[in-house]
Amino acid sequence: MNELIDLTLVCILLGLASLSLFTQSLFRAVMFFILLGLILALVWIRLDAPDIALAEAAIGAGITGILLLDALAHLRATSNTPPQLRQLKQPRFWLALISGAGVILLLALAISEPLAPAVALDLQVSENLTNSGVTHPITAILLNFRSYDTLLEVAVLVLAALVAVTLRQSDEHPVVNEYLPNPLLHACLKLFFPMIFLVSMYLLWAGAAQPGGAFQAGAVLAAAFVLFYLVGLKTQLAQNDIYLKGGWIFGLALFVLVGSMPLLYGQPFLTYPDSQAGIFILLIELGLTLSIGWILFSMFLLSQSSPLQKKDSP
Amino acid sequence: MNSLYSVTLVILLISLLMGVFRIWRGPRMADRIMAAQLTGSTGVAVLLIFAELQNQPAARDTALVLALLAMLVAIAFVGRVWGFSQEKKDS
Amino acid sequence: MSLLAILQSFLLIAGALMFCIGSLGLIRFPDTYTRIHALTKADNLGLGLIVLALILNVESVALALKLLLIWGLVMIASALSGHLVAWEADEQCIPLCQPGETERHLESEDE
Repeated sequence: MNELIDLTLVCILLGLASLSLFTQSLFRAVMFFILLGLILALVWIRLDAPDIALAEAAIGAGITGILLLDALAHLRATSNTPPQLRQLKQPRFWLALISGAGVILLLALAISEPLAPAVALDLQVSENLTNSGVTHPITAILLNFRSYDTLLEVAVLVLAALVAVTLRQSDEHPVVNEYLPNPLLHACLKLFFPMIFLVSMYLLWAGAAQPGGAFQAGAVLAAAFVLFYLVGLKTQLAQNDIYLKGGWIFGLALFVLVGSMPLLYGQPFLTYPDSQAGIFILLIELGLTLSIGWILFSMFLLSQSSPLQKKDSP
Repeated sequence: MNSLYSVTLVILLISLLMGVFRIWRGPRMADRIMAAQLTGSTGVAVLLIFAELQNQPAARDTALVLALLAMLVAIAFVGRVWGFSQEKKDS
Repeated sequence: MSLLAILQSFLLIAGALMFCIGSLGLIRFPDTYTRIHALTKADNLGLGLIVLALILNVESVALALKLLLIWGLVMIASALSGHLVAWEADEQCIPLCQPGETERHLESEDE
């Protein structure tokens, strides 16, 4: 019976992936892709990787779907003809072929490589877990044992946001977001906003002892911000460049600041004293949550350039 | 008990496949969005059963996140995409 | 097999079948409005039955409340999205299926 479930999940996963790649209609492709994210979350749970499942559920069901739908709206607004499948030009075709073959070759090499002698990393983690300040091993790795990696990951995220703001086309007209005059929507959202914030903070707090943490909480927070924006509640904060970019680097700055505190006592960078490690990690995670949520929301916000106004013209 | 959970899961997955069929078939965007909603709540049910079957409490958190965020797609769709495809009724 | 287990299995299977009935409605009903009608009701009942079955062997009250919370949230979200889609469909004059008609194929793809 278990094999049947696994087999069905794999078939649905592969089917959805190929459907979303090969379907002609863009909207259908977007819907299949959103669905793919959902099934992927189920598969991660099935594979006993709840941390990734949580992130996938938050990002796949929330922000990715909205970004794709929004891109679709832009396409509709700018051109009346649906984009056709185009023949790839010759050099691009060969470039794509070569790079694809290269990736496959590298992967094959990586697989055929003899395995490195086994280091009992899981044992090392569980031995040191008591000193890490948290009880969930993944959080301990992300924010204590290997916090350099996480620091640089967050820096990459900030960089991505900076690139996004650079690539944005200058828009003369600010976007007019359609206000949905639906009483039920606004009544329900009064309930949902606090719930989403609460769940976000719950994931952050729970991250110390069970799957959860800054990235998942940040993705959920971003969904709340986007929801705010979608129903037409304008946020002045996002208009102001200083607040916008300040929000991006807030988490990173806090991370560096907290991480360099041990330097005062002659300890190396990013080593927390064992007794206070829990507080340090929580502080860093709080900053990261806010920044990640804000960065993901800004990605959505920055895509809002002028074309949406086309509605007035016939 | 576990085999019962498995049977339930299989039925739920069949229901999910029907939703996929409706997304493929359409014909309207609204049908596709509603089918996606169906798969969202089916996914919540599947996650809750996974939590029992695999003794994985975090699956419930995943279900909670999914339950909260599943409606975002519908709201984004109604607010952004739909209005640009057709002329609205004058009112 | 205890009475509790029997009740639980009944609830689980009934819930899953409820989901299937909702999906069947989604596939078989002729127009957008009737499909929305099928989805928003059968699904929530199905999830409710499954949640009830799972609550029966849950360890703590907090966990039971969490399951109930998830059910409530899904109910509200599905009612809200169903309402929004139907509202917008009406705004855009998507036609109702008339008696005697089968599935509408005229002016079908609106994308």
